[in-house]
Amino acid sequence: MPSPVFHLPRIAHRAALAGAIILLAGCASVTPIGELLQNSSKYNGKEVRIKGEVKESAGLLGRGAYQLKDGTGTLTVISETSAPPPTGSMIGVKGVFQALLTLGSKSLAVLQEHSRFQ
Amino acid sequence: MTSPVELSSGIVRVAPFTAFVPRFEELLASSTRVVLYFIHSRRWRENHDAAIKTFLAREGTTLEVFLPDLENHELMYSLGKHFDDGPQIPGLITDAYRYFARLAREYQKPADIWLFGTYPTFSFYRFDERAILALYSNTAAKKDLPAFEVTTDSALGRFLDTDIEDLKQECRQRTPDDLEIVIDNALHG
Repeated sequence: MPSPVFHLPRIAHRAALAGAIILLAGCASVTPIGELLQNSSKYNGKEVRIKGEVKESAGLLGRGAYQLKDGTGTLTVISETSAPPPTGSMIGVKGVFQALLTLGSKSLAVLQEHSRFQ
Repeated sequence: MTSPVELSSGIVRVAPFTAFVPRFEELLASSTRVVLYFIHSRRWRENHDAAIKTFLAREGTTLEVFLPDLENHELMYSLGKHFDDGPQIPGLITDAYRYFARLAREYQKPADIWLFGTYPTFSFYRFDERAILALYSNTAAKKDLPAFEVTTDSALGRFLDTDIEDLKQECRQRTPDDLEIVIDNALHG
């Protein structure tokens, strides 16, 4: 029988996710990134709002891409109209969640940015 | 009047990419060095699987492969938008990773895979003295893609060789065994 110790990281991760969901419930319909990634088929193609810290900015073909991190995960945001926000800033983004590849319970996904909010 | 540039361009044949199937078989059978750069080229890999394996089984042959960086989500998004099979592209790239990882386990070639993070403007298949360059369309509409066979000692061939050296500077180098880690890193959840 496996030791309960081996389940601790998963339990801790779920607790963090549950905590983030409770915290973010106070913000109008902000979805935790971990929730999007763990249920990618449910949210694929849907407009969602996420909020977090800008981790990395990059650019390709005139697009502004950056990574947004909240307490539950990290998601690449693709902006076709605006330059990426400064690294380290806290922002909210409304956009369409796109799951590009799903293997098992994991997804390669991006958020196509429509607008930003504070 | 024919300019010196045209004389040394090195183009020996222009045809739809699909017309090069028999030529690829000849080139794989006669070459010792092959360098590949494409998005996933599933059809090409399927069409020439036996010839690729025969090439790899021959002593002294080398294979170098450039593939898109699956961890570059922006590149995956861009590729998905620009091809008629866009939604399948990350999955097809994953398939290409695993194809070359299987070859490496069986033939110990390729020793390394280079992962590019910039949007590709053309694909190429370089052999000893010839190379096939194929254009990508600027739109998502499916169409026959033109390809060029060029000599490698020509202006186009030298451009290609310089590009290969530059790509090796810019791309992330990974062993075939590490490709599963790249796939895992590209996925969240």
